[in-house]
Amino acid sequence: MFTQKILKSVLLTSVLLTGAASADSLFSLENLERERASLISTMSDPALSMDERQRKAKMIYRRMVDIERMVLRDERIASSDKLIVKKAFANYDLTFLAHASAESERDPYSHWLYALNITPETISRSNVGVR
Amino acid sequence: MKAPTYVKKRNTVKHALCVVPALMLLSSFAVASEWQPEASDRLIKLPANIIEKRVEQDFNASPMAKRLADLDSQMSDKTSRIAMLQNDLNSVSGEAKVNIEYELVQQKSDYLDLLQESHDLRKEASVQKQHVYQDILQQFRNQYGKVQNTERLQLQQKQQTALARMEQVMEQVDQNLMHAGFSETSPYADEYAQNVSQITQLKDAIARHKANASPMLNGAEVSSEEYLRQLLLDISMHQSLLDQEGLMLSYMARLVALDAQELEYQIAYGDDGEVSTPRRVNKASDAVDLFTL
Repeated sequence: MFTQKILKSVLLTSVLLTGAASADSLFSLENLERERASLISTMSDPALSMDERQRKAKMIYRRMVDIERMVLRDERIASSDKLIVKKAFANYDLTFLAHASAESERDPYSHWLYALNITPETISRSNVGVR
Repeated sequence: MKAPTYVKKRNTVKHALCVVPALMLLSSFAVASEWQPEASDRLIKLPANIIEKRVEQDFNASPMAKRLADLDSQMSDKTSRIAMLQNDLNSVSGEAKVNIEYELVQQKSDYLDLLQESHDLRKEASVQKQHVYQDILQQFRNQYGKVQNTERLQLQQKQQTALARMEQVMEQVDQNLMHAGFSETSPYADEYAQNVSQITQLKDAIARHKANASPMLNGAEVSSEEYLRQLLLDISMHQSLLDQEGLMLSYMARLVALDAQELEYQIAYGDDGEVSTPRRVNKASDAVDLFTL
């Protein structure tokens, strides 16, 4: 009887911890999305000076490196069937931008443009218009 | 002990002759000896070897197991009595011998009734166990199939591939950070490095833990599915032996019926060894002397 009580208590704690950890895993993925969006926004913000852009981009890059590692090392994240998880793993180059850019020896913003096939040629071929 | 009259014996022998059909009906009259296990969700979550122990424990506590133990005890008494009567049979003759033969048939008939009920119960228990293990195996396969086929597995594979890809450039990324002026590692990187070896130790401890051990068959570790398949195979063999036992039982019943029939003939017509002499009838040739003298 006493053993069963302990077992129930331990199992309950384990379930609670697992649930909390699962929520944290998705939270880190959301953070990664925010940092990536922030990097793109910073790099494409014409209002920022070159130095300011570089300073902000470095800080974001450092955070992205940590978060990307957190996301990929967390085995529980793939247990979620949320759309955010599916989309994250659908394109490594866009999701894990800091590491993917190091692999291709480009800076993260250039790699992002490359992954989306945004080149000077495609920009020059594009037309301004209403969709 | 007063010897029973022939009429009484005849009735008993007639009763013994009815042994064979009665044996077939007994199982339907067996009451208060049920065991109806179900593969509950809690049972399915247990390791396969513990499932087997849990099923056996449940069976041993059931009215069916208690009835089987009771039957077994009664059968032991009957076999002792039959052996004793068979010994006595060689040392007596005449009506005393007939009495022992009569009791022998009755004891054998009773023994077969008990054996039939025990056989039916063991067969029923075997079928119930078979259903439980089949249910568990099916649910186990369903769960494993879901894991194998769902998007979850694909996501896990993608994550592993992505992690392997990331690990190849991690050193390069760390150097990039150094070049960018981050001479110290981040708090996450520090903590992670410290925790990773401890996590490995904990994982190893879990893998080595007895309660997490794989079930063993013939000294070798096997998967839960393989263990369950082995249990079903054992049950199948057990059922096959029970079928054989059923055949033996029917032959034994037939022998008892033949013994009873023989006894009835013996009571009605005497021993086989006694050849009845034809009644002498008066013939004309026997009386010739009476007329000629």
